[in-house]
Amino acid sequence: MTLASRRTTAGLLGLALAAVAIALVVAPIGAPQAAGSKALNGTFRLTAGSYSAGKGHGTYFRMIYPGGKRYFPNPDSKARDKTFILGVPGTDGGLATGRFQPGPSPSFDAKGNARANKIIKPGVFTAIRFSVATLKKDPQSKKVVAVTSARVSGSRLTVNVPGYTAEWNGQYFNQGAPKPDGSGSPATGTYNAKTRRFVLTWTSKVSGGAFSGFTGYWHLEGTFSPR
Amino acid sequence: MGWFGRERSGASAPGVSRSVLLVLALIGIGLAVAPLAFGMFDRGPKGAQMMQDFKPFMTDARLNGFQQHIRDIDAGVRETDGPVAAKLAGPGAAGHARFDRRYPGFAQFQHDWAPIDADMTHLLDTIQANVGNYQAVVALPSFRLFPWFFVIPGVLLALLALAAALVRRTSSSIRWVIVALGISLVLAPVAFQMFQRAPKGGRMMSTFKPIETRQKVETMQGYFGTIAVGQGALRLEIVPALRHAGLDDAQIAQRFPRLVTLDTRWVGILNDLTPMIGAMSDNVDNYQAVAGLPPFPLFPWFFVVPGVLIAGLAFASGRRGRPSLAPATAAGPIPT
Repeated sequence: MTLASRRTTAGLLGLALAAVAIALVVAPIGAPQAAGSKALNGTFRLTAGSYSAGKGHGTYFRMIYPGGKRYFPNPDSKARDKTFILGVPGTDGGLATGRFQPGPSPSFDAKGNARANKIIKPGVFTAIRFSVATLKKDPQSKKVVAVTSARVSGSRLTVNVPGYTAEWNGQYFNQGAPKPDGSGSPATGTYNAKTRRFVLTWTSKVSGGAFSGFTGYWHLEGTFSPR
Repeated sequence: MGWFGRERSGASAPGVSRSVLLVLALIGIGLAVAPLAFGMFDRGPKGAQMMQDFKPFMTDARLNGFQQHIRDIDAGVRETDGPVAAKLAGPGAAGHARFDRRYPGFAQFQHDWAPIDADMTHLLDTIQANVGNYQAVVALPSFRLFPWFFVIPGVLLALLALAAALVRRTSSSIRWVIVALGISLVLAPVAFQMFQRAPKGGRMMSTFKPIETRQKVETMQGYFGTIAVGQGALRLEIVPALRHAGLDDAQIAQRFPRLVTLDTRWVGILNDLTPMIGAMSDNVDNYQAVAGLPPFPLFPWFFVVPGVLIAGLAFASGRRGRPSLAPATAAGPIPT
């Protein structure tokens, strides 16, 4: 081995050692974030939706037409802007983790009005009541999904809610985050550990049925109540 | 002793029989492989799903109901835009302009309604004109079974040809089994009335081509939104305004029966129309899968042509081989 090649080898070895050292130093910086992430078990108690100053507040959802350029107006919305569909907390007060929140059986009355009332109270959507539930088995894809779960890391809130299902006019529309097949992202938002106030948002594309191709935008806001 | 036995005996077997065997085996393999080549195992079930999903809507009674819904909406819109507008905002152009300003949701709907009405009526007319064609396709065996109608006789034929090639002494019954197989293939389309039904299926597919597209479904979804907003204005603004103007519900029903009909039937209209839009939407991919198959009118010929070939080859070869059949058998020459 020549002197030059010995120097090159030594140099490369030094670089490798330096890289390992840097990795060892940097890794713990990220680690506390994962270690600091903790599960939230309880109910995300919802604040009723409202609309003012051109903005939605509290709990509401909007339906985005395929193509994403406009929102579906619900003439029955209480908001001035009818594309905001306001939610009122149901008998459970909101979205619970660690358990499913199905509606009664049958899910609909004879006119197609949804009867689920745990998460939100049924609201009127184009003359027929709609509601939401978290279902263990997605009626559209027939897949069994994971139960609702939530984690918080600092102020960042992440909620997996694959069984979230809108019910209307005798039909089910999965609005999970992620979707039952695992595609898409979980719901994300902010959480204040002191006040337990949270804001949670997600989008979920409708797959199948009359609104196939539409995307639901969900905005849940309120106070977390631990179990 | 049979013609295949002569083939295997070798010594006096002329090449023609071996060639026939090979051709038959190839036809069998071709039949068995055809569904794979056409993607029938994937497309067939999708076609079956489409036919099943369309079933609740493809009756004259149901489609007449849809047509009635459109007429109800049209009558309600016209009455609201005419006498109701005059009642609420005064007669004449000035009154109508006031009405439009007061109820912009309805005004927009009224403006959009004519092309929606024309398009939906045309769509329903088109679908209704194809009820017979749909029924003809439904009367055929399920799309799910279609690939097997090729695979089973194909594999059977290939196995028979293989058996004939391998077995030294075979009965002429193999030949007749093959002839029968060929005849069965020829008769299958006749038995299933494919010559009448398949072209009807072809016409249905052609007619649905501009309907079963994502773009058309989105157009329909847009119509639904427009109608819902218009009906909402009617239900939540105009009817209450009539009450505010001093009319009770009985008077409103008496003076504006079409408006009230639309209002009271609206939930039923939604109950009926949204599943249809859902079925249209859910079957865009299924339709495309079926449209990717060869044209329907050709299907009977996919049975008849190979059937004639198989039966013809087996029969003709046997007849050709008959004079020299006996000496070629393993049992030796027949004493004279």
